[in-house]
Amino acid sequence: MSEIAPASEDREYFEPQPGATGIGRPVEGALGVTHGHDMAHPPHLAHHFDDPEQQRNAATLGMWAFLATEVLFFGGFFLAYTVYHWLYPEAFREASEHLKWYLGGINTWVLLTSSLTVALAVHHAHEGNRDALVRDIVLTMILGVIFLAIKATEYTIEYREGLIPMIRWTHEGPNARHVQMFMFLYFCMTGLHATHMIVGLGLFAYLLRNARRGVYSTAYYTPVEIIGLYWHFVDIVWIFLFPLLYLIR
Amino acid sequence: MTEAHPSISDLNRRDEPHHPAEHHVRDLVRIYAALMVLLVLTVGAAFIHMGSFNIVVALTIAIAKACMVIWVFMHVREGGKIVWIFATAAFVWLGILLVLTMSDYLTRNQVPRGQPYNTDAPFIHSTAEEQPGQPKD
Repeated sequence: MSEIAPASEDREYFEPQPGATGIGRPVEGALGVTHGHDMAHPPHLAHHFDDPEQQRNAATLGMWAFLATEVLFFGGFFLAYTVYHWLYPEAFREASEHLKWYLGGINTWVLLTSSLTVALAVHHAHEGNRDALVRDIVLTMILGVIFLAIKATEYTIEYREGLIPMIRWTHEGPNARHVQMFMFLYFCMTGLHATHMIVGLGLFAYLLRNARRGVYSTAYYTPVEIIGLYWHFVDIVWIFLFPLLYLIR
Repeated sequence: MTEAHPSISDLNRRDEPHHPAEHHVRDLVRIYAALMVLLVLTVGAAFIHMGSFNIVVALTIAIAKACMVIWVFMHVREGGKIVWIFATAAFVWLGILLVLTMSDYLTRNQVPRGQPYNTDAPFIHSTAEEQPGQPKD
């Protein structure tokens, strides 16, 4: 809705009208662009949306479009896994038994619980309950850190057992090459997933800062909602990784 | 946008839940409890030997869990139709990727590999007269 600054004789047309709320007050920008309207609108509503609801729906839809690309990003690894599992089922079973299923199971529990705290965070943001929102974000971050700590423990155990291809590999046997293929996929998939977790923790740190400052309200909590969608997606990836990597025995 | 011509933006309107907040929290906790039950089932099923049926059970449970997270935690239930279409499309495309690739791998053994073109196959030749190099029967 912003318009190029008109010739000076039209300038008064863009002056704020008496009684306007001031939110849409013309601003002289560096590029000579003036705000150009005096229609009152909520502070978080961008001009190209009709109302806050439309804006929030557009943000949600945009996030889903991004998540669709993420599905296919991880999808490449799931495809490689499917092909090699089909080609070398015995080797994959043998390799899977080296992973600590109980650590993977605890991590699944941790991540599902964090999904609940995220869902509660979105709910409390919608209600405008700032203290509960801050508490839910902190809980989510703690659970995220616990997940990464357990993952790091697993990587350490696998290093000690010599199960890391190209770095420390001591596994021998008739299926050694294909066991290595499994471990390679394991590190790529869980590594990509852990990277997403680290990004998620960064996003939640940003949410925490803003939530404590009282930026989010019943009228505006879109960042909580779409970062929540991201976290749930990362949880869903793990829901599939856990049985495929840890439980084929 | 008018009532007579619903725009794409109308499709994206969500049906706001009208039930009270406590009801909503109870839904979330209920889904979480169901996810926990399914997690225990997944681990339990992995230790029962069912052959290749194990992975079918594990994936069925995983899909059920994912659907619950998407439907309730990710608010697709309350979202507009377009959100539903986007969420579904993501997994349909993943399905296309998996199905088309595996349709290649699964059918490779049905075509003999590394065999030269069989010139002795009887149905390849037409009549003996048209093949001057061939001995007549």
